[in-house]
Amino acid sequence: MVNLLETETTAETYRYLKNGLQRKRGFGLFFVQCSPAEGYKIFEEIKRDFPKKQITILSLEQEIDDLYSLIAEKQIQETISILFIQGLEKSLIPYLQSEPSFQVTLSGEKNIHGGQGNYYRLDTVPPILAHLNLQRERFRDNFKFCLVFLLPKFALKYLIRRAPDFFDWRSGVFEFSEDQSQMIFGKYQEYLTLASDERYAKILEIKDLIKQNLQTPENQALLWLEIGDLYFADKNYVQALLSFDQALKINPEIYKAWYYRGNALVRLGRFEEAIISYEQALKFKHDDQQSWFNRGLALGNLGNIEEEILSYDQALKIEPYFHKAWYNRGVALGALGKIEEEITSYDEALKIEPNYSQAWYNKSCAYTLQSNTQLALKSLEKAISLDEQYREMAKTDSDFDTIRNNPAFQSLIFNKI
Amino acid sequence: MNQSINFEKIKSQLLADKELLADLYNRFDPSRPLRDDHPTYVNCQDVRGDDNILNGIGKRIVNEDKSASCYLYTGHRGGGKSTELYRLKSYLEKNDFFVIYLNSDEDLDLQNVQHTDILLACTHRIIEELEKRTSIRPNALFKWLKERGKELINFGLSEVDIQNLNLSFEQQVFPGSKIVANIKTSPSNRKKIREQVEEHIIPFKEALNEFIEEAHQKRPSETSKLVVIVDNLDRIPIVKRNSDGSNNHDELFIDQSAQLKSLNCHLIYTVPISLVYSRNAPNLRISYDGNTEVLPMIMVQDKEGNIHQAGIDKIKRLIQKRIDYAVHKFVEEKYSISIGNQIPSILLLEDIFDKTFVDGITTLDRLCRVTGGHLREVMFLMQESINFTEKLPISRKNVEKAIATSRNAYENAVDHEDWDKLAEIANKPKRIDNEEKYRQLLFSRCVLEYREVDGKKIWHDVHPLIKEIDEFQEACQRLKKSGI
Repeated sequence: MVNLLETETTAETYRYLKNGLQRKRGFGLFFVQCSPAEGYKIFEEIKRDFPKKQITILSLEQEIDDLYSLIAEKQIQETISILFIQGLEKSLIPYLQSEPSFQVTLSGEKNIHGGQGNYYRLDTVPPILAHLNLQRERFRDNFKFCLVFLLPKFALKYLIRRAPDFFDWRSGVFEFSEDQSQMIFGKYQEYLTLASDERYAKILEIKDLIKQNLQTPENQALLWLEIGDLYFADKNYVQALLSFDQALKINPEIYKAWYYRGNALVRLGRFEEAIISYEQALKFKHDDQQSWFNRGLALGNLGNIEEEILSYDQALKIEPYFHKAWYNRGVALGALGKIEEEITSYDEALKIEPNYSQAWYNKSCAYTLQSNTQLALKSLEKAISLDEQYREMAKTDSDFDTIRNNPAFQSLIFNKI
Repeated sequence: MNQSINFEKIKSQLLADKELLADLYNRFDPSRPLRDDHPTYVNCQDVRGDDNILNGIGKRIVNEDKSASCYLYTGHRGGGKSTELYRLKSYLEKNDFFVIYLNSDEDLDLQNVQHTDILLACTHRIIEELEKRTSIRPNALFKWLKERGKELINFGLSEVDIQNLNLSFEQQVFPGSKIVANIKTSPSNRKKIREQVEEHIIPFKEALNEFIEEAHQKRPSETSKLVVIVDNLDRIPIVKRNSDGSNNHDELFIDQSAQLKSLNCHLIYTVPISLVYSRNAPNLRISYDGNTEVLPMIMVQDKEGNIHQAGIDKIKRLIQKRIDYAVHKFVEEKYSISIGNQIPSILLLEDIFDKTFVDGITTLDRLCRVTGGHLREVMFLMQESINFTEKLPISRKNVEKAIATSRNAYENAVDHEDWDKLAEIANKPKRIDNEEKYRQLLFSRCVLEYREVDGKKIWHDVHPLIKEIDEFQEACQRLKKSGI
């Protein structure tokens, strides 16, 4: 799979997790940040590496408010030495904030305050987190084994904030998540062609225009939008964000401003706030496929994959020929371990854009995981024919480990076609 | 002590032993607060504000000629509060006090708790302990309960429980545990019980205090008095009530303070540290006895940022003691000898940690400084660095990796809006105001509280781990640019 970070660090992280599980005696709390598919892989691998231990998994399919009883029940049925717990995030999703709040500052000015602290709400505690936080003694005293929580990023962050006492008893945190750094695109193509000083000249020009105060408020808001776009093109995302905020202060109903604001936040790594911003854009223009798409990206970056897919589905309902949405949907399904659907999604993208090399490559990885060597090789060949870089990538990509010694694979990778 | 073992000789064996590594790993378990009588306990009073819990609370209870008082105690999560409370308990018991320790998360539903629940939980524990250790019966409380008549059914009591109330005094069983359990687990009963207690709060308090009074008088030693320690109330999750920043903690500890101190005995409540910096904090001073005692961090550097060697040494001592404990046990088992805890360390810190200087500092010093004097952080960093290690000594690289892991956890707890606030605290006079915006930062341990060795001056600083995060440094740059 296209994943630039997959080097030995994953193997290293795995080794540390293994060390911890091997050394820990009695009760232990391990937090592993990963996608559901990775989580399952880790579980399988640990089982293989500790053949003598009783290792089992508790998959949570829906919202719960009492984990203790579930584990206690499992403990009666079987002996456990390591228990993996997957799906806790399902109990958190309903409690994520989606409304931006406006904070009135001392000067009486309204500021958009869609902070992360707001995303992980402070006016309520998800019952499952309150449960963990307050019941930690019972967990420790009654479960004499290791609990391994497999969590997406947003769930880990929520836990750190709202179940701090539980988290404080941890034996370790292990991050397996790859950074999803897919690109965002806005409508600033022409500004991209300008040199930096040209952009700043233009910014000053527009600011002057605003200062003259001859513009209607509506126009002023649009000018701020323009300024934000220029800053964005200059990669000055902080100033871009402030400019979009200015526009929204004048007119909070410009969906484009919310959308651009979301993009700036994504670039700043503030995904929680970005999601809120996109949702605000969608409030004013529900059929904006781009907002749905980028919302999906931001959700994906926090590991909220189910919601991510739903967001792409919305985008595709509006624009069925949105090939990037099909592609990203495929990647997301892969992260959930739904390989069959993943391939179908790439196929949709390739129907629209037959030369989409990335999709061919990922499809090849997916076929390999399904042990469908023939189709895997065919897709890989196609990807390489479109873009030579995939030949290099395949040389080290662990997704191909199972077919690495296959002569056909070898000749494809090492001989020019 | 068995002289036949040459410790110097087995040292290299020990350093390479995987089992010992696992023992050491488990010795730094953050989920087990120490009792003050544990062999690895280290008294830190001289580097954390001169023992305020014994001076500020313990000695006052012992010396002042009062039979009732109410104190608040707080500190950062994982800073050693519970350990200090165990110590306070032994101190008071040595001075002939009758101490009841109530672990509130066992008796209360902290997610939804109000003053009446706390009063009932205290009542239950007082009755239980007094009945266990004396012959005093809660007659006044039986009477109060009987007066509730039909309502008792709503307390979640069975017919048998209610009939038992009509037996002769000697045979009566106070259904305290049932009532407490019902408040904790049954929302509908909880509501009814609360209504009843609130409606009849004055006779309830009178009955309870009559019972306590009787206990005071009947206790064999005249000096004996009752102390109730209610621990862990700081775990009540913060829930914001409205935009002015007030929250459920303020409601309980400030608005209901009169109820919380209505028992005629000595009371100590553990409260969240953020409460002390609430806008309403001045009311705490009026409502409770003395100042709220805050357990400060071990001072590893002073207000000006100079290293405070005594604090660093204390942390090293703490690590050494835990290592000794593990190593001694290991050697005893492996070589089937008895060496006790009296012999000097077999493995020294110099053996455990790589001694080379990187960036002008040794591995061990680096670890100690970056904890900010927070004990649970010491546990985390030790646990993690050992986990990364395959063979002792622990390398600088592995300590740095452990530090990065901890730093990450803090980064995940900081909101984007907080970076500028943190930069301000680190660069300004280092004393925070009673302002809402700082409370969350104290609560999440991003800002730590320290106290001068003489115990008088208090100051705050940003957690050293946070100071290493890029966003924090950028915020400091911004602050500098803005000319402050």
